[in-house]
Amino acid sequence: MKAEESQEQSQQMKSQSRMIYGSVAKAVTVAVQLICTAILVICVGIFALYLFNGGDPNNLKGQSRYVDTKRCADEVWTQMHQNAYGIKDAKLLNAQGIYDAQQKVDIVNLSAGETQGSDVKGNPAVSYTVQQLKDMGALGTADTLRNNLSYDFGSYNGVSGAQGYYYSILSKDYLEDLGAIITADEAEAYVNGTTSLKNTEAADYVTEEELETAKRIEELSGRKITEFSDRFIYLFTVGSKEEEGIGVTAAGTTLAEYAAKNSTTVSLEELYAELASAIYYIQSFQSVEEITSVQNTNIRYYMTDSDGQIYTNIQEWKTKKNAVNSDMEELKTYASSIYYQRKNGSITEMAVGSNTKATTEMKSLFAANEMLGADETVFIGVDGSFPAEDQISQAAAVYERYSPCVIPAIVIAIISCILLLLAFVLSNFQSGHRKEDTKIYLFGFDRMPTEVFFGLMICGILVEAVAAITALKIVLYASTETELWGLVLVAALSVLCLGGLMIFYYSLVRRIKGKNLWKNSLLRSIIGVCQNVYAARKTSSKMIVVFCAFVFMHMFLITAFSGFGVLLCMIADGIVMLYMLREAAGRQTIIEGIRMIGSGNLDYKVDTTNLNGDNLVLADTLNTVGDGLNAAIQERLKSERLKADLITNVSHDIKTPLTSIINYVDLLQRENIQDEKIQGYLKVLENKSQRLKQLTEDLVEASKVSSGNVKLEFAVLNLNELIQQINGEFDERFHNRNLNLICSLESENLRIAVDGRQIWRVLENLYGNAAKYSMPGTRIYVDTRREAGRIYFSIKNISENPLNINADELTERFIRGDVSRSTEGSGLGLSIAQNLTRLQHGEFDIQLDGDLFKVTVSFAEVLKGNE
Amino acid sequence: MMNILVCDDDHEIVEAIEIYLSQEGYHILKAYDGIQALRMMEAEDIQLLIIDVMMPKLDGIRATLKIREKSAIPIIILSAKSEDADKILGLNIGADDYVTKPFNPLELVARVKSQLRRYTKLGNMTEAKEGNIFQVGGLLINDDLKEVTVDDEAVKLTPIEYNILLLLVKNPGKVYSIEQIYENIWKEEAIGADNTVAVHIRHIREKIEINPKDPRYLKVVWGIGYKIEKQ
Repeated sequence: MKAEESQEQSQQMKSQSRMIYGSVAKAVTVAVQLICTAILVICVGIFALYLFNGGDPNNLKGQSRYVDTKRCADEVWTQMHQNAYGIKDAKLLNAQGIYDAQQKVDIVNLSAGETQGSDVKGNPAVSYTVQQLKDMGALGTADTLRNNLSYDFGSYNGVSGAQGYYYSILSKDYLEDLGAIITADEAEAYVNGTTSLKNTEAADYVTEEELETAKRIEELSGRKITEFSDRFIYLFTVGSKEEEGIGVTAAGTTLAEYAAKNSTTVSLEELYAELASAIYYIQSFQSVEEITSVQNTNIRYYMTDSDGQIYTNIQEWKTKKNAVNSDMEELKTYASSIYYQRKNGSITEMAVGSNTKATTEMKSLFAANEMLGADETVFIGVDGSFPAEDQISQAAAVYERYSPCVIPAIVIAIISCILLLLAFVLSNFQSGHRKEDTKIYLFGFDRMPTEVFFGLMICGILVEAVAAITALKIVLYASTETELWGLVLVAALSVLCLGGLMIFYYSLVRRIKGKNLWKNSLLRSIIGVCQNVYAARKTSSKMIVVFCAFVFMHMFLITAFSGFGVLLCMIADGIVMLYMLREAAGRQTIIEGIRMIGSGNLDYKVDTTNLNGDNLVLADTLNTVGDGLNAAIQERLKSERLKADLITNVSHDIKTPLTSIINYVDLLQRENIQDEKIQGYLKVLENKSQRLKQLTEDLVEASKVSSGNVKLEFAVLNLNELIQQINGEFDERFHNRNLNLICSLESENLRIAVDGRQIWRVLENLYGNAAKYSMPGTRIYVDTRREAGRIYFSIKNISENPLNINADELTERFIRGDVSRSTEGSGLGLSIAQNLTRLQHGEFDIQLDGDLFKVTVSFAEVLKGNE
Repeated sequence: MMNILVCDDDHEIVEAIEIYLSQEGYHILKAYDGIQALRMMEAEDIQLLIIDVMMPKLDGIRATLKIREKSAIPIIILSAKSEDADKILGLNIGADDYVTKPFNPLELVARVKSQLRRYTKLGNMTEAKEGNIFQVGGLLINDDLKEVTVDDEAVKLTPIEYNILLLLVKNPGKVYSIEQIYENIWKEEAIGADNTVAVHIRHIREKIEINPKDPRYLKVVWGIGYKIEKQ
């Protein structure tokens, strides 16, 4: 009982320990992995946002306000320095460095570095207002001009030469270099209109439009077009078009016109270059202008340079001269404020509003770098109430939102990291297993060829990586309002990516567990095919050569004869197809032959009249194989018959002397011998001679039955009747050994088709066994029943001697249950019964269970009217 | 004094048979091959022949064929060949009985007696055949006297055994199932499996047959029933 309990317990424990392989447990681990990833990504995102917006990884507790952070100080310094550069630049425009949209600027002077006055001091023909230049910047004129200018004309060596781009054949360069097509006079005539361009050779090279332009240049300059360079004509043409969009100079003309008029003194190319520079200059000035406006920035500053010029964006301080440290009081209301004075390049005074990380950083930054020059006074502060929206206010919003969450986020991230790792390890164990047993289960996906799987996996990883990077970008560059949603999006994407990755990863795990990584690979099957081909190289090499020759023939025919070659190829293909059809037909014949021989028709011969080549060899071999098989079977039958005959004949020869032995033993016993010893000897002789008699008879019987050499006359009979008859026959033998027969028969007739005499011998053997080997005083159970269209007979008895032998051996000839060998019987009874049953299409089954011996014999039931 | 010719190439077997049959009062003549047997048949007055099949010079089958050309005496073949085919061949060529070696001496003696009775007294039996007398071969039932004889030897049967035998003998060749026999004899419906009929049949066989395992009269048709063989 105890053992049973503990077994049950261990079974229970086993099933419990297998619980982790259940589908619920699997779903949990997968869910934990996905959820932890999402949490991890959000936490990392928060941390990244924190760092990106001024957080200090060395000081996570950090400042509660962004304006106190080092990052803020850096930002202020960067912006102020840009501002300072702007101020320096702005001085070129006017002494005050003030942005004035209506101020006129001489582009030639500007690029020469001359400070512009508030009045137009320069050449009006090359002057634009600041507004005009600003508009041009917006239009992208500067870039267009630079593109045009950078156009490389090169030399004109050869009209059609790769380098020799020429704009107009009217130009001086062209006429000088290559004047082959028209002369300068002819060109002039065309431009003047004295000669019509129509129907001339030149019409191919000169358009009406070009003539118009040329005419205009001549008008403006008063010179002949043929005196102008090709580059000038080109720049004039494209420049005029460009200038239509940007308006005219203060003189009311375009630069192109100005250059044409003063063609001998002014270079149009230089003018355009200077215009581009001026536009860029105004553009950079513009960005400085933004910080000078309180509407655009939260930085407040007041600076004076060596000239005592004041630069500030605080309205009240615009007139404050010589501000000193005491004036800081006002600036102190701002967060992160700093004041310093620099004389001859070194700091003389420096103070900060409050001591924070930001002001410490500011001190070192501003001390190290001059803003406006060697002599300067600087007040800088950040308006912590952020009246304007700028980079600082945006960063501050994000920073202040996330800095309190950073430490919890890191803690949560570590926890989810650990959970993730645990779930991952667990999942590695789980994948491929099921609760029920220890087998490895694979999905259809896991059986995909390994190479395809890896290809898909790499594609998947690439797609997922791209998605993740994109998502990360979205978060980092998100605006203040959307970065949280951005995080959620990244988390969702990460979960999606991980989900995809998990499908592949765990498939890989299952493949490794199921050991089919190599088994399912395409490489393996390719190697397998190659091995087969190599093994069959005698045939396969022939086929490869023929195939290559065929392919080459196609290529040769098609390349050599093109269309006609295709026709030849088709004819060749047709011949090959006929050949293949013939081969296939031959193979079909052979396959049928094999099938016939396989199904036992050994005399079948494959008709070889229509076969040739390998098929003929195959068919001939097959026919020989058929003959060989036939001969072997005949031989086998003959030897079986010989064996049976031998046994029969030997038994005859034994019987004759045995007859004498039995008879004379009997005669001796009749001789009234008183000596008990002799009587005992005679008894032994009698028993042994009887046993020898039985043995020879059984031997003949067994050899006949096992070789199937028994004539059977099938008839339908009633098994119940048979059992009753046999019960009657054995009644006395059972009674003599004190055996009790318990017989339970199916109530209806049990109709089976067997040979009556042979079934009697089967049952006689079984009953005889029961009578001989049963433990005296026990019961013998006989029953018949009908089940699923079959009739079953079974006999059970308790063996007197232990049956330490298996059921199969009992039916082997001469094997009997161990010690009972010394009693009567030959040991052939069960073998004969089994073989006879099988000859009558029945089933014979022996079961041994301890001393219980059970034989079941069954036959198909014959239904009424089916006799 | 009946003369019996025993013919076998094995001298010891002939001697043994002589011992058994002499004790029953028969005179034994001995031959050791087929030719000798034929000569003895010519020379002596012989009432029964026991002959082996496998013998030198002339085998038992040929010898039997020769003898049957002239004589109608009972011939018992005594052979080691025990196949059905051998038995059928032996009986078909004119032998009256077939005994296989190794044989039971008492059975052989009984068969010899049976054959001789039938051979010598066959004539008388036809006369007595009147009224309620049924005969199948050597088996005779006189229903008036409630007497059963096998080859003139009285057999003692119990009333039930007698009735069963009578039922079967009245219709020789007809197969009666256990149920039919039961209903006929006990006059009540047969219910369930019962060995009674089969046991009685075995007892009858033991009483009327020389070798109950190889019955001449009361035959078992396995799985169907019992019958008396038509002779």
